[in-house]
Order: sequence, then structure tokens, then C-alpha cells
Amino acid sequence: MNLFEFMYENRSELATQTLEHIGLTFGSLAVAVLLAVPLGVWIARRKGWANLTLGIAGVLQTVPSIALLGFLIPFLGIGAKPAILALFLYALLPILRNTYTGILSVDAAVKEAALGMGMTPRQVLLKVELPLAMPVIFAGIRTATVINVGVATLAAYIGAGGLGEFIFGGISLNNPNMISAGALLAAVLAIIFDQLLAFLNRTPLRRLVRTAIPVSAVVPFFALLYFVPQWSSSGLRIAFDPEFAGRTDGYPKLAALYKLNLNTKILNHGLLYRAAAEQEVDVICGYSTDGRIKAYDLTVLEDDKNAFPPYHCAPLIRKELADAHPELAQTLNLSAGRINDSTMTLLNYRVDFNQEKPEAVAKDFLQQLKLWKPNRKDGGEKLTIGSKIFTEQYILAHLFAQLIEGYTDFDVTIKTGLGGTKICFDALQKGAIDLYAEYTGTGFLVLLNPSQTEINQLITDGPALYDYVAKIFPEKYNLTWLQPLGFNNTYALIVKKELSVKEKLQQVSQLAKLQK
Amino acid sequence: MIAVKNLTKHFGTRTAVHDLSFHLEAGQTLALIGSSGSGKTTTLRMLNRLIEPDSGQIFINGENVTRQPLEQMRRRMGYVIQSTGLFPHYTVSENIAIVPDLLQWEKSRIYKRVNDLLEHMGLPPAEYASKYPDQLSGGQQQRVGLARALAADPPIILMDEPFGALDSITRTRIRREVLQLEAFKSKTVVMVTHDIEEAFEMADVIILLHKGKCQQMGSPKELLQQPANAFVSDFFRNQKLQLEWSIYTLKDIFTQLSLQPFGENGLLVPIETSIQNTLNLLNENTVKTAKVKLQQETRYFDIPTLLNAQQDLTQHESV
Repeated sequence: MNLFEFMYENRSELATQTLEHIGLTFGSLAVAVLLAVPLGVWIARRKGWANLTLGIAGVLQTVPSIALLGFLIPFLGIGAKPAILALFLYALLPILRNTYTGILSVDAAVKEAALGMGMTPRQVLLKVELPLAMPVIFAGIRTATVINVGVATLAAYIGAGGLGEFIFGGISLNNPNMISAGALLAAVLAIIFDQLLAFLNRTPLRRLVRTAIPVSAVVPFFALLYFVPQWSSSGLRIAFDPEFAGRTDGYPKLAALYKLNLNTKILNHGLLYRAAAEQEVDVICGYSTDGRIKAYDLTVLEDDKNAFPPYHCAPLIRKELADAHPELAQTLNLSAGRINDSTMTLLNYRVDFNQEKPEAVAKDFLQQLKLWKPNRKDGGEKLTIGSKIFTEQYILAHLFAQLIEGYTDFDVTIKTGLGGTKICFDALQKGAIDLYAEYTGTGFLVLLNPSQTEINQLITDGPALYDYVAKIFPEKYNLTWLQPLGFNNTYALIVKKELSVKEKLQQVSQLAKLQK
Repeated sequence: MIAVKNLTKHFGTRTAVHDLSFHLEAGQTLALIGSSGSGKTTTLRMLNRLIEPDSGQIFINGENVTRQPLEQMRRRMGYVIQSTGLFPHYTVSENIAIVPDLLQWEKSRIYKRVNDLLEHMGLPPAEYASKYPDQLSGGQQQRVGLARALAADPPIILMDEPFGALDSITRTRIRREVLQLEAFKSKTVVMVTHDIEEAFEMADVIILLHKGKCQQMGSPKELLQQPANAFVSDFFRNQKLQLEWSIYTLKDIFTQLSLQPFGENGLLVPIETSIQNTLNLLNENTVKTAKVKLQQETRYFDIPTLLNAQQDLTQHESV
């Protein structure tokens, strides 16, 4: 499918996003003009404040946009409000600085003549300074507009819509058409508005003063466009990250299986949990063992129709080593089935939010299970445990290490931070590490590259999938899956606990009843 | 009309104007002269309170200006500055209409006034009314600036180097035009200039300032002939002859000296005309001889006679 076919096919979504984009740009611009122009005039009068004010506006300009958006969520929630505030802050500096410069650059003789003829300071401002500074102020507004068209793509991170939805969705899904469609329209918008303002900027001063009034009326009109697509929305507020919303085993599969037709927003993955915690949205997507579920008092909806692929976690070990030392498998299987989803969530929570060390959390947990034993022997045979770079993997690596050192003579070292799946797996195959914690879904989908038929057969059945990878891996890679730990770290729909209690919402299939 | 008492202004530690007092009758023209930094512009700008004095009072028609509402007070004073200060976004007629607008005159009255003034200034309204300042020459801009100051017919005109931005030929021409304007003749004028000739030609009273202090106040003739101190005589030394041409009139010459009659015809020149202006008139009309009417008789003269007579007169008076 080429780009234009794609755009034609998605024209209604693109139109919605374009309207939202224009609305966000001009909504923030209107607020920025209303504030920055008077402020610019004021600092032109009190030069002592000019450096401070321009300095603050300059600092705001340098705050990374995504950080700013994240910072605003606790105060303003998600959606248009924080997006417009952030865009407003970025538009502030160019308008402020140009107003200040414009007012200061008005010919001193003209101002002197105006005062000398008996104009009041207010008349001097309205009849002389502002009209004469207008071209410079306009240039500032033009700069701010172009900046805002660009930054407004980031509004998609906080559920405010706009063309960023396609751009970031396209990036997550590696879909060039989606990226290009969003980016192309954003670029076209930037060019149109820039040229429009450039045209106004070129019109002679005297006519410009007369056009300034209709133009300032058009800006709020454009801002209202934002709300056009939203008139139709109501019911449950649902937000997904771009990847989940787009990938075939994510929301599309869920929607088909459960017959859902939800009104969803797109939100940056890092902001989803916060948004649910602040009750800005009712349902989000996430991962079932994420520590934030516990931290923000959320709860996972049961995937009662098995829409999501199972990602049961189990130690993956070199077959030669496991065969040579059967005590290793015996030892590690002590923890098999002992960690369910909520236990893993709690362990993650302790590291992420209580700032405890993974090592200490692992030890504490083993002690609770009465499995912990002190190090049996120093200076024994070497064994290396790997981990990918996220909390759960760090905890599991330490848990395995403490078990092995307590029950066998091995001397364990841990290599954390081996990046993603591919790095851990290669390291294991080459013998650089001896074992790490892997997930069945990942082992199947990423490492085995199964055919579509195999996927369809196995992907919904957790135990069958484990049996399948446990059978294939020793033959194909000379690696052995030990027994699963119990939890399933997969996609999940997550809601606030209060809502779950209030609406008796525990399973995904119940969502269908709540949808409008 | 204007009375200034003990006016003083400091900028930081520098004294811009020190204890200046003067008095000006209605219809008189006062020129403030002196080198750069002598305080002449500061003095002018204190009159319409663009600069507030540190001490001293200014009375206009017996009223203390600091007690009057600032804007109303300024609207009763025309204000002309060197760089014209015309509003670049206003047309010529809009510029002239500024003060009448502020005074909320009727539209038709403003329209008539603006057109009359343009007509008098030699800027036909049909051609110039809707032009913008940047479409005019320097001289035309200056005339518009002057028309703007005169628009609401204020009794007082303040002028800061009104012709300073013009080349010397244009300057002389516009100065003459202005002096002949009926609208201008009745005004009480305070002007600042660095052009001594201009001051001598236009002013009834001159104040020579140096470092903020008044060195001498008086008529042009007094300053030239009875300098109060060495600074005053030094100030005029280089231009003395030229200046004498503007202070002596034909009347001075023909009543005080007996001249050899010369010729039998020539251009008729009014007896109150200064020597400088007589020379200008003869030049402009490209004639060599002129006549002037005394009480009973008519006297004829040419340029060399006139200049010799003036030198005699200087010697005669200084004896």
C-alpha cells in the first residue's frame, strides 16, 4: 500500500487528527498572545524585569517537551489542558521577546512627539507603540506558530490527539506509511500557517493594523476546531500506548475477540499508569506484573478469553550445564510455581517505589518462603547469571543466584543490563552466561520465528506453549527451560481498584457491557 | 504669558539647568541658544513637562503648570522637534489631525482645518493629504510637523531645532515661509537652535546658556552690542558681521547716517527690513538698486553703498 492509498483509507482519522492539531496549536497560541503581548509591553516599560522575565521564558523553552508534559499531569491530568499549557509555555518566549524588542525599537522621536502633543500613556501605547511594533510582534507570533505545529505532535503522548497519534503509532509499529502520513500533514500545516503569517507580515503597516483585528478573531475560531471531533465522545475513558493500539496481537485482537468498540485515546507508555492513578482515564493497557499496579492502587482485569499471548517466566539454562549438574535444576525448581502475578508485582513495587535493592528483596522473599540458606562454599565452580535491563529481571537474577549459592557449591556472578532479549539469548548460546529468566511468549515469538499456523495453534494456551518451547529449545538451541515460576508477565488491561469495585469490573468481557 | 522662576534640573551629579528665570510676553519669540550640553533642550522640555524640574516654577498665563492636568496642558502647546516625530503609520492629514482629534473636534471642523493648513504650507491637499511621511521630502515633512503643531491653534509653540535636519538652502527658505505665516505670527514661541543666524532672524528675545547657566538674556541687538561677559562676545565673534546684517534695518541706516544719493530707481523695500533681508530681496529679484521711503523723501541705494553704510554705523554706535 503506498502512502496516498493509506492516507485515503484513513482519511476520517487523519481529518480528526488534523482538526485536533490545528485546535491545539491555535488554542495555545491564543493564550500565549493574550499573555505574552501585555507582558512584553510591561517589561519594555520596566527594563529591570526584562532580563528575569525573558530568562524564565527562555528556561521554559529548554525544558524537554515530554518531561514538561509528564510534570503537568498531576496538576492538569491528561488531554487538551496540559497539552495546551505546555504548548503555551513554548510559544511564550518568541512572542514575549518580539513584543519587547518591537516596543523598544519604536522611534524615540515619535514617542516624544506623541507625548509632547498631549497623548496619554495609554494612547501612546495603543495608537503609536503597538501599531509600530506590530510587524515585529507578528514575526514572533509566526515563529511561535511554527514551533507549536511541531511540538503539538507530542500532544499525542498525553491523550490530546493530533497528528502525533499517527507519527508515534507509526514509530512503535514500524509502519512508515503511518509515520509519513502524520508527518506530511504536520509539515503541510506548518508551511501553510507560516506562509499565511508571512503574507500578513509583508502587508504594509497601515493595512496590517486593520487586518490584525480579524486575524485575532480567527485564532480562537481555529482553537475551537479542537473540540469538533470530541463532541461525539462519552462513556468509559480508555487510553492505550501507540504500540498496543496498533499491533495485531494488541488491541485489534482484543477488540475482535471480546467484540469491543471502545473510544480510545493514545497516550505515551510512560504516562499511562499516572493517568490511571489520577483517574484521568478509566482503563489503560500495561504489563501484568508492573510494580506501578501496586503503587497506584490499580488492578488487572482478567483476560477471560485468553486474548493475550502467555508470557510465563522460567529459567533458561545451557543444556550441557543442566545435564552435568542435575542439582542446579533441582535447586531452581524450588522456586517453581511460587511466584504468582501479584507476588511479582509486589516485588517489583518494592524495588521501584520503596527503593529497596533487588538483592535484598530477593533475599527477603526467599526467607519468607523459608528457602533462603547462607552461601554454602566460596571458590567453587564459576556460574554466570544474566538479566535484561528491567527491575523484574534484576530481582530474578538475584533470586536464582542466592538459591544456587545456598544449595550448591557454585560460585555465582551476575551480569545485569544485557539489554534486550537478543543480547541475553546470544550470550547464553555462546556460553558468556549460563542462565537467565526468559518468558515463553518471547521465546516462541521472538526466538523461534514460528509460522502463522503455529502461532494460531499455540498462542492462547499457556501450558501448551510452555510444553512446546520446552520441547523445541533443547533440540534446536541446546538450551533447557526449567519449570515456570508461576507468573505471567503479559499485556493486561488495568483499571483503578475503586472503579473495579464500584462497577464490579473484574474481567475484560465485562467491559463490553460498560461500553456505550 | 510665560514666566519661569528659578528653574533647576540635575541629571545625576551634572547640573543641566541652574537657577534659570525669564519672562516672555504674548506674541514674542524666545530663542534658547548655546553649545551642546548647555541645557537649552532640557529647558524647553521642562516647559511642557516632558522633563520635570527639580525646583523652580513655570507659569503660563499666571497659572502654575505643575498644577494643571498634564495632557490638557500639552494640548495647548504646539510641539515641533528636529526629526519631526511624524507618525509613520498615519497619513499627512491624520498626522495633522492628531491634537484636534485628542480635543474631540467635529470631523468636519478637523477636515477644514487640516486642508487650510496644508494649503498654507504649500502642500496642496489633493496631492498630499493621503500621502505617508516616508513619501515626502525632508522639507515637506518639516512643514507637516509644523502644521501639526499649529493644528489646534495653540497660543504657545515649542520648537526644538525645528529646521535642524534640513540642508541650509531649504532651511532658510522654510524659515522665511514660516515667519510669513499668519497662523504663526501671533504665537508665543520658545525655540531651541544651534543656528545663531536663525535665532537672530526669528527671535525677539535670546537667552544664551552655558553649562546650564544663563549668560545673557536680551534682544539680539543687546547681545551683540552689549555683551554681558567675555563668553558672550566670544560666542558671537566669528559671525559678528553676518549677525549685524540681521539686526540693523534700513531705518537704522537712513535715520542715523546721511548717505550719498544713488541712482534714480530701484526695488521698493519696506523701511523695517533688515540689511540681511534687503540683500536677500535684491538677490532674489536680481536687481542691483533699491529704494526706501522715509517720511517725505524716497532714497535710492545699491549694495556696496548699503554695506559701507552698515560698517560706518557699527563704528558710529561703538564710539
